[in-house]
Amino acid sequence: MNNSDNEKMRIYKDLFGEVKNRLSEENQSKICSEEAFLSTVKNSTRKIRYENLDKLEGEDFLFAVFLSVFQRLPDENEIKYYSAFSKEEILKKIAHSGAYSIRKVEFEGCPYSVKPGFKGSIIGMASAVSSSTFLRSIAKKMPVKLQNRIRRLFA
Amino acid sequence: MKIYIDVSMIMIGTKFTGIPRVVMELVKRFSKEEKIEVVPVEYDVKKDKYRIIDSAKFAEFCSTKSGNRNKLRTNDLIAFDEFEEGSIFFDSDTVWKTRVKRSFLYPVLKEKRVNIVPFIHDIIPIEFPEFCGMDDVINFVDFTGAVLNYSDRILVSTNTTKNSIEALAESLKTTAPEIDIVTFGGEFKKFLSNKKDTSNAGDENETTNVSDVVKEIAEAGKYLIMVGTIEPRKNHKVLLDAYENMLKDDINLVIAGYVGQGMEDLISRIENNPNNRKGLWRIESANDEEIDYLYRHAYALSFSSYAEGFGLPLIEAMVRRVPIIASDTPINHEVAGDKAVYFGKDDWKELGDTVLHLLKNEDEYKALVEKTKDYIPPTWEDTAEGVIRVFENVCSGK
Repeated sequence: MNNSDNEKMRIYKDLFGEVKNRLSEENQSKICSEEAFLSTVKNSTRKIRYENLDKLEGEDFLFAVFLSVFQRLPDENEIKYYSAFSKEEILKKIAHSGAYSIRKVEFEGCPYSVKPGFKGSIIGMASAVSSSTFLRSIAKKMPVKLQNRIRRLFA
Repeated sequence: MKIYIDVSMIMIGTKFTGIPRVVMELVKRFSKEEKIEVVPVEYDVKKDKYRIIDSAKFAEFCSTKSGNRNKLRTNDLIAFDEFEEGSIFFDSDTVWKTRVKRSFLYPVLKEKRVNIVPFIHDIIPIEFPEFCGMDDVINFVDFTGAVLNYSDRILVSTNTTKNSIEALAESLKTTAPEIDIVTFGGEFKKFLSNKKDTSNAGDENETTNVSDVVKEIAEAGKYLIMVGTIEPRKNHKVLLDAYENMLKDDINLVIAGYVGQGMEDLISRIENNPNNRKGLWRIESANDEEIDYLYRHAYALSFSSYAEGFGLPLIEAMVRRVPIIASDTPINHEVAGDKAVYFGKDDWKELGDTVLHLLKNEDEYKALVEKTKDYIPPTWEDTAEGVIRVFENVCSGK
């Protein structure tokens, strides 16, 4: 990375730091670590550089994987669920989700074989053939809890 | 001048208020300009490219907000590194929510000498992350970092937002790109004749789409109105506190707006209030005519936000000559100026005192109404012209 790239990454780093400080001042929600966030900066749409994730451990790794694949943080249940697994197991379990299949993400340079499972592939196909705008308009009329469950399935 | 606009969120959206509304109003007007060629694009996950959206059909959709959006999609695709040199990539929608991270896209565009011009509506997720979902905050940080690192010019709608971005850049020890201010407009001309204190205020020809519930609210007595999505940063709490503790015997309260996430406690508080639907109303899906009707019959707009990108209800009130009681924030002062009276953001007692004072002092209330008399609202045409001027400056290197 040249000086210009270093300076640009510093902006992302310091900006994240400002936000995290603000949240601490307000005693507010948990956010990921700086390292987890920075590992996802410049991620392309479908290819995730696994080397950036592999540097992280524990919850940082899980948060970075979720941000890379789903562009969201894991919820409390997901954090608890995945805490028992190794990095390889986490990646394989996530790859079996419908959302992973829909997003067509690949981990570049990953030493493990990470492929969508049968269920994920079916949901991915179902999503592809249906009109998402139509489904969204239906889903928006549902109770909020059900909407969130649907979001988790496809997002 | 070729202008690319990422409309991925509009292509799947179900509500077209706030930021998407601004994008759609601009596209409608850009499509009539011969000197610019608008190219709406949508990210296609299967192809991992942007798909070109039919510009004319998209502009039509922006007017009707109905129809099968699949028919807007063309078979033409454009890879991230295929955007035309010298063109403008105008990021004006909630693009941080899309699959294409700007920390990835902007360097690619920069490499190809595409001019990057984002419209920053606000930086609330940076300044007030506590009011936002954490997923949105993280994605917005990625977006904002890319904006500061790669933009050629930034557009904003207020001086307050410009100052916020410049202050942020200073705190990060960097220099913000040049920032231009283009005020938001609206289609307010039709409301100029429906002013609060004229004989048109009760024009029955304008009530064909107004429900009986809304008419009953207007007939039930004086009321404060609050318009906007019910979410934490809008601070409906201070208004409810003032109403329950000080105002419920003197004035009614109408809260109009969609319900955002995480507001179950506030909604429950409204629904369990003894005055619910008798002096306190919550209206979720009012159409444009009903909102207009509620404004015209309102005693005052109460606008209690902690933070806003612009605050369109302030203009909607002023154009109808409805007095404003607003939270004491820089953005409210910038938009409403001396046409509003202000109260401390969390000070329900000051809000209550202000309302009671106006109720007891008719002359002061009339003076507040009078202040809105010469208010000339901006138009979307003004906004579109201002944005195009900035495009021209960017393309000519000014």
